[in-house]
Amino acid sequence: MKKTLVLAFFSFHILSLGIGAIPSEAADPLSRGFRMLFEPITGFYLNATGQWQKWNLFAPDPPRMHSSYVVHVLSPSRAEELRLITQESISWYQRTSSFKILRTIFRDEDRYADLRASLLRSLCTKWNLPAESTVRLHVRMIDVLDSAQEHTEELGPISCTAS
Amino acid sequence: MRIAWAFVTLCTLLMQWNDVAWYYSSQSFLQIFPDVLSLTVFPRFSLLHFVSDPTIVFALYLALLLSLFFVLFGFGKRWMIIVCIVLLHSFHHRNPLPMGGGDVLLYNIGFLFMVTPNVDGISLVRWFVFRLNRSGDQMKRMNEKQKTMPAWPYRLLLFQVILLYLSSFWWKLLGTMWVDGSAMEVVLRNPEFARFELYPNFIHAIAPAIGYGTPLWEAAWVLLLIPGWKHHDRTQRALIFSGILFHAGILLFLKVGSFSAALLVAYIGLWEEKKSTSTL
Repeated sequence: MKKTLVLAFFSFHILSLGIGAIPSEAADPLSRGFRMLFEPITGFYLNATGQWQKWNLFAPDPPRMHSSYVVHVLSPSRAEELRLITQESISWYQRTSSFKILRTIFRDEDRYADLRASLLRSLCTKWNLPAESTVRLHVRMIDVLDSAQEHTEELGPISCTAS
Repeated sequence: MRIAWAFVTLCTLLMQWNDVAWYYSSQSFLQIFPDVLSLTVFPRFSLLHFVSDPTIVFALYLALLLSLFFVLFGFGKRWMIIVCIVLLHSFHHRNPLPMGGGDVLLYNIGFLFMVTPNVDGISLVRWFVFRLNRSGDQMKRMNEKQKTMPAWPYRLLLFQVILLYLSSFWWKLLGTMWVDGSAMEVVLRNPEFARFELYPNFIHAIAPAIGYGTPLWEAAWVLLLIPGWKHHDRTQRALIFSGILFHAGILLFLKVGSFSAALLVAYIGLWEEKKSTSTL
């Protein structure tokens, strides 16, 4: 009985991992068919047990843009202050996760629009800014292969009052 | 392997020390549940969906660090691993945005520890005690005990690693840069990923070889899925050995978080457990 249970768990776990590892962008009929057939059950199991996974490091294509972020902090009592979020300004142990978050949030035009504003507002608390301050974010993205290709984005100003 | 797992997980979590409130509490930029980000249609459980006070969240973070510390030194292993997994799961599901592939793999390895029937064996405390007492026989007895453990957790770990590489290979085929050989040039010239600023001409010269070699090496892991293949063990050893060099290279040249360290932990399991497992 114990052996049967172990075998059942073993087989189901492997099936779930296998279905979960199919790239979401794979559109061939076999992948779509497998996902349609098994995902309602295996997806539930993977999410409930935290086994969900997506092995797409630098894939399908690695990001070509290198980003730098400048936050303009404006307080009534002080002159405008610039705070840089760059590879050099963040400590080594916070760099990877901080830039991963920023890259994810600023990658998609519409999907993370609310989250961008929320991120900017949360900096008020993180940096202990006075409530009457406002923050504005300037994002600069440069193509690593062709530095003439540049994209900039402005966000804000957002008041720190509500944070 | 368990010691290495606890150590690497502990180190990766310590790096979030200054950002715990910003990532996971009511002060977080992510005020909505991750499900709203369309990451999944399936419900997810997290203790941090019910707890948002920054102080309590930080206390849970400390509890997670403490439980990993206990696993590292071999105290209350089974229960401590369960505590680790529940808390890791909660942090990952509260805000998956800071997570990378390494964090996912470390969680998956921890999950396997949790369901493995025999989690005894060597621990740092026992190792020190045995060393002090010069009791080599006790160490041997402990290793003998490990030999009787079932093989299925080891096979799940092996399958997880094979799947990781094959899925990664598949993802690469869906793009254009890996196919035209320019992917590694982009990666090595992007200061967000590259640790060193190398000469562009040098990168341009070596990038195609690395860019084509990486997916080919990942695809080679499919050989381990051939049932009853007589060169299975030799191939596995070769893949693990080349994998150590591959991930050491990633660790040295690229800033990709705990990914390489997590894979090296998995390799310890694949190398060690192979010698000490029986059939299902």
